[in-house]
Amino acid sequence: MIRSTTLAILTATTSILGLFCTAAPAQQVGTASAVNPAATINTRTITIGSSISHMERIRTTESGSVQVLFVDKTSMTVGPNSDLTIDEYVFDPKSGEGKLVASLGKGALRFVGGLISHAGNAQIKTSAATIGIRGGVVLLNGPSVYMGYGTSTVSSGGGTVSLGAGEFTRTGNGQAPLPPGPPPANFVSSQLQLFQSAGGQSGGVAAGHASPRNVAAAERRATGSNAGVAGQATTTPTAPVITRIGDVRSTLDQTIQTSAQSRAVEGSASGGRPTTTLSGVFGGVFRDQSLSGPTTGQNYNVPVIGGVVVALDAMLNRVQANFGAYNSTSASDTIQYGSLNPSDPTASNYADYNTFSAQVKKGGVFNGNVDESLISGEMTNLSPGGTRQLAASLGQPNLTVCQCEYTRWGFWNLKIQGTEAGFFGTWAAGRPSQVSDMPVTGTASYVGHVIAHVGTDSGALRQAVGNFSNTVDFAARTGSVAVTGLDSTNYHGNVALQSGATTFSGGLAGDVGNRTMGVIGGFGRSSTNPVGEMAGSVVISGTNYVGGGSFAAAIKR
Amino acid sequence: MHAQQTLLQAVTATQATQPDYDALFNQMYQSPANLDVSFKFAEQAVARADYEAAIGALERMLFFNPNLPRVKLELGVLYLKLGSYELARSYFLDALKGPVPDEIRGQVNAYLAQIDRRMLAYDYSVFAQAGLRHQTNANIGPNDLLVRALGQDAILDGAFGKRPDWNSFQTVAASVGYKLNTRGDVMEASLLALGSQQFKLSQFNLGLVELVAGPRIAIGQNASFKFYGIGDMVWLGDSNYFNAAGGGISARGNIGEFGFIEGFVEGRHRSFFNSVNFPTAAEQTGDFLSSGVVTDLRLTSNWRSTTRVGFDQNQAIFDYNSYKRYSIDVAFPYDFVLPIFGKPHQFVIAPTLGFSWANYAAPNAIIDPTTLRNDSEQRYGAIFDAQIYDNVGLRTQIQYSKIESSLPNYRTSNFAVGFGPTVRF
Repeated sequence: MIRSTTLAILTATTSILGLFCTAAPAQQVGTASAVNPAATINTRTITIGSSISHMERIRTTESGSVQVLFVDKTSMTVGPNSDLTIDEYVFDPKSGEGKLVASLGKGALRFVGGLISHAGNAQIKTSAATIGIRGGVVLLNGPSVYMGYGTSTVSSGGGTVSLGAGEFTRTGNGQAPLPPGPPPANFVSSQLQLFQSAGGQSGGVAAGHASPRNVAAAERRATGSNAGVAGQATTTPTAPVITRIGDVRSTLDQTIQTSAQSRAVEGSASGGRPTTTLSGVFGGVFRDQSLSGPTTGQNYNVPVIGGVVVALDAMLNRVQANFGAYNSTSASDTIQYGSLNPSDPTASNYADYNTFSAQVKKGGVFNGNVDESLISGEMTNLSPGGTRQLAASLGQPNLTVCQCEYTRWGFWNLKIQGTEAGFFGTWAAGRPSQVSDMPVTGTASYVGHVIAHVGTDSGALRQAVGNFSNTVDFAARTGSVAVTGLDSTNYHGNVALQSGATTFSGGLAGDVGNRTMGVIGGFGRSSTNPVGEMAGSVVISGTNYVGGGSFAAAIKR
Repeated sequence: MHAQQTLLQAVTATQATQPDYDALFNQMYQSPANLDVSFKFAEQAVARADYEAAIGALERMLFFNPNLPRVKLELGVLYLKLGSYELARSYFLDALKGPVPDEIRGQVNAYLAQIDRRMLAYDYSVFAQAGLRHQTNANIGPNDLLVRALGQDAILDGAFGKRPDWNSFQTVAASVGYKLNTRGDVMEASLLALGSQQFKLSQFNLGLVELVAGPRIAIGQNASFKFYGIGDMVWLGDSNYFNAAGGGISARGNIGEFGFIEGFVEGRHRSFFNSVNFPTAAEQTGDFLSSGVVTDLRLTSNWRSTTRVGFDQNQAIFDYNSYKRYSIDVAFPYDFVLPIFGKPHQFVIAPTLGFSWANYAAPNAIIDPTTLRNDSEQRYGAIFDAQIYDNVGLRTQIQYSKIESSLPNYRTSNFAVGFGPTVRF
């Protein structure tokens, strides 16, 4: 009779999944999918396949148990000696939404969630607590609540706790739930026993219907193999080691390649015969001679200063140096030595980074506006060893010759044959720093040397060397400069670092007579420091005393 | 490892359409005692990762007959897939009661061992390898000695050109997690250590230690996010090359049982140090931002894919060392079991490929003041893992990499072969 009622309800609908179950009484919301006697709905005895309706009360005896399968795929297993009422069940199969409220008056219940609880709309009430379920699997037995999977909120006695997967709490006695924790030992296993048939029970089917052989055969037919339906429990994937190590190595290799190539190029540029261009300044003295009037034959010594660019080409074995190229506004002020043009006959020689020279280029002096038949001149590089020899010959064997990696220096001249007139100077050039390279904090001490030509206003010029030091305060953008022992004169003073540039300038006072020295220089790179070196020129003046020269210095090691 | 071998089974079910699935449920609802229908429904529920529905169907079997160890084993597996370890363990233990076929006993014991490990307050994993590697370009030198220096063509000293070398290497990737609760909140720490000692080019001896630590906060049971700190120490040429410190955030979500997807953003300040061999390394000092998406997916029962799509940005104190880098790396591990001397051994072969593009911010005057460095790198390789005994194996790795660059200094190619024993636990 009950069976036929169920079938009648099912027949009245095209599908149970088309059911929209509301509060209308006697509408089927689930079916008894397995039953161990004795169990009743209200007062009806339940058998497998029995219809379960809204507002119905399921009770089991000490040996009874029921599994109820709801239309939203929720399944509830009511343990022995239990009392469960379906208070509310609403489900719209089209949207998959609904609501389930049940009361467990006593006993044990296993709740395995379906579509309703996945949306968090399932609620089980016990005599002591209300459990809101999202997702999941819940085991209830009296005051004990165990969340096997999903989350839930358990409220009782004015308190609420949230349970995550694997957490347990206990309610009752009007008290708030205990804080979440692991379940008592054997709680879960003992509960599972409640929801399995005892010996001799078969859940409402004929004995032997679910024999191991029949079950295995049914499973084999379902899967087409012996693999089973559950498959394999794969471990939770961890971060892929292969990709992680590979990525770290790739990024590391990139930095190493950058460092290695910088090193390779720096090495090639600081030694051997790099093809490179050096920029700097020259200093010197222009020795003029009066050709008419009462002063005919008298010489005048005038300090000069300007920019220099020295290009070295290892492939062509050529050198080209342009003096005055930076500070001059007219090509007529420039002097060119050597040429990178392979067809240019001007002699130059590039033996190595410490040995190179070039002759003045025909047509390269003041844009050719001179009688070049009377002109001769050359620029040469002076190696650190040559500088020491020069210093020793001048009685200063302890000169602090610049330990520069890139910065080079030397002499240059331009002579007018048959006269004492001409340019006699020195130069120093390196690889200029960039404005962005300039530190804004800290200090650094640079040491090196000065080589100059000095003399009286009109007398013969002589070479002089001196020690150079510059202690730079990058934050204050100042430098404290000392030039000592230069033609038996010591100079001290400050320079200012120019804003937005890599250059500096200032004046020094000498300790002999009223000699003063003007300094203009710029920072240059070393292989390890973008402002590791400096080069510049000095202009010296005093009563009947002139001079011009160049300095080179590197950060003190 | 042993459990993986003996339990290697595929979910081969062809997934039914939703109407078919609903129709199956309808059938089961009407005929709950029909074993065939219940198993077909359970099979389809598992195929679509609706494990709770499958559990309901299988638990009903235990109503019909409580003496079905195979069904208890499968319920344990389903609860294990849900991460419900206590319930899984209870079913597994239940399955062992009474006479049980050896096959099922073996599987159950392997799963119980897996659960025991997962239920420890600490979870850990370690992968370690040591071995020998040969590289045709161990110093990452340019393919051609004609390079750019100071804006000019220059012949590089042969010492800086590509040079082959062997090295001995060591790799350790270890992670440990301290479970703060049962909801998946974990305090995690991981260590990656790499070391290599060149036979000839000792200036490229490498050492790296990276430590990452932070809390992983669970969002439900299938997603989490993590805050973490990062510390790096790197040695090159037996000198400190750079140190780094920073932090990151990542978010991970499981894609059913197929794997996970994880996105991350992390930043660190890298301080490089000049050394005798690398005197300008400090120019790379700066802030390094790294972001990406990593996936690890099981494509079939044997094929997996791991991918990493990344974007890095390096802001160095010198613009010419600043760059933006885009990368993608993919690996397709294929695992299979072959009997060796009658015993099954697990093998994994993983083709790998990767591409990256790095665009630098400014030209480097030392190299070429007028040419920006733009690199594109391609990497092709394969990793072959062979199980020797238990958790000890042998890994062989080959990789060919080629970098194209706007500057000849950085055009390189390298072929590397490495091999050595591995251990995992």
